[in-house]
Amino acid sequence: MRWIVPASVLLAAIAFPAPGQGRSVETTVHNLSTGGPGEIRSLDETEVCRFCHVPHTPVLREPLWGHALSEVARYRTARMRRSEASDDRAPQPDGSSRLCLSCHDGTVALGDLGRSSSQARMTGSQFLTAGRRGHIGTDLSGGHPVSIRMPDGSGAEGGADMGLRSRELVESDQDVRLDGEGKVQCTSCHDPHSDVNFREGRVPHFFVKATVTEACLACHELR
Amino acid sequence: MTRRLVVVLVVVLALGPGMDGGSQDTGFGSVSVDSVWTTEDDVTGRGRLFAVITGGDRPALFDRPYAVAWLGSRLFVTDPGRHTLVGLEPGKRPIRAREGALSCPVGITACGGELFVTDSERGVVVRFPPDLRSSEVIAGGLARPTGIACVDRRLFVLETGEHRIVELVGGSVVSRFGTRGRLDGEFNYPTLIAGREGELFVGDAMNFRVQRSTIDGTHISTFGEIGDTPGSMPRMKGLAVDPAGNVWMSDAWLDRIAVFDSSGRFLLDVGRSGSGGGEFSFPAGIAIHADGRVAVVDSFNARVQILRVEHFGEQR
Repeated sequence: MRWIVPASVLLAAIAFPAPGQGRSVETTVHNLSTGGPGEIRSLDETEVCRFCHVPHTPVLREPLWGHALSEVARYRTARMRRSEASDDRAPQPDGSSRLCLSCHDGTVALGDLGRSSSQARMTGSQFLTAGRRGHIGTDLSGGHPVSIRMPDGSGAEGGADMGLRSRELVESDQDVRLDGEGKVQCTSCHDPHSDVNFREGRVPHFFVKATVTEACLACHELR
Repeated sequence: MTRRLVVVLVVVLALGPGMDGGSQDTGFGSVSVDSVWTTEDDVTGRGRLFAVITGGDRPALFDRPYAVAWLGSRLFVTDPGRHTLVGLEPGKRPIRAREGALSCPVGITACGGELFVTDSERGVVVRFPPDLRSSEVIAGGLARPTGIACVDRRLFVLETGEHRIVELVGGSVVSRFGTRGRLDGEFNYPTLIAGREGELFVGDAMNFRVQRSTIDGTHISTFGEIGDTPGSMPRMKGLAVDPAGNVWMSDAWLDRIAVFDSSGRFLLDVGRSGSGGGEFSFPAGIAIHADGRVAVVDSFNARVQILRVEHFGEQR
């Protein structure tokens, strides 16, 4: 009998996840449709996927990206101890990180559906404004750098002073993912379609690991 | 100018690998590139000389073209990127539907000398005369209509949002068949439809397969699967049936055109990724003319390529 109560709690947690904490994007705050669980959602668009993906008129081929992209040409990026760039700063965001920034830098309306002739109307502000959860802005210097290439393990690309593990070891991790060019992107630590690990004040939204520490240790060694 | 000349030379002198269908036991003659239409000058016939003399880019025909249909010698191409329909005829200036007539045109077919276009955003089917001077919404309230086909002079539309096929007569829905699922006769976001002589072929997009049925909805067969090899269907965007009953399918993940016989046997694939003649970037709509010309919308290259098939094989 002792296991019945904990088991029932566990089952209830799986069956009735907290708002914005689902395994499917439908039950996360990235569901911006009229049926979304978050504060920000559309007043008229009922389709979940459409805020990011379209089948016929994508802005980018992969991943059938349909949301208008940010036109910010230069973000303020993090200062690096060892850097590929001469100004000792992380490179400008590229790849999938630019897709995240198309909403999260706050310069593009959340309902701006790219080539679509119609735009989705949203609750409250049409933009992810400063101070709102999820707003990153155009100054990325306070966060982990993105669009940086992991060393290949040969030692020739530096990174030793950051205690970095080899790219091969990082790529063997089942949760943390580098992009096709071996770069760290937003999607290395965040899965935009799944928010099972979120814990208020402890684990960020859409995190791929159950704790922040686990994510750090996927790439950095303790010394 | 360099890019234009390269395109012209590729079209005239060379064919990419995979373009020679005659080397396989498929019943096909060779498949070659007939022409590439990117600018108005390509269609009016002034393209090559004009490009050599003046250099520079000529007015682009398309932004993000998608679906295509032949009507006699004329070719009609929808362009959801510009929210319009473009009519093309070699030697003549292109014509366009009036502004505001369409929002997201993703399907087109010719039927009884007229054109019928699905608008997935507005949930309507719009009828156009061949001169595109007028338009009329003939059916509305559809759940994301996409594919549309005219078979035996009957008009069939895919209601992708409801996972079913509807038949329209005079703008009214006279029959519906299909429901969401993975079994035979069921669909998961079907987006493409084509047919001939009493049969329909439906691109069942999120089941990554094609289903063949009678025009009354009786299931005949199913073929295709998800994958990343030629003949698989990871991201189908265009579907057409040729005069011999072969099924042509474009795939925007593979950047290839696959041809199957009517029973679903994979015969050959055409093209590869790129921007030269016989190369594709996000190939979409396909339309087949009885004279052997196959129009393929090359969406991310913002152009239409006309392939020429020596013969389609024996009618089955």
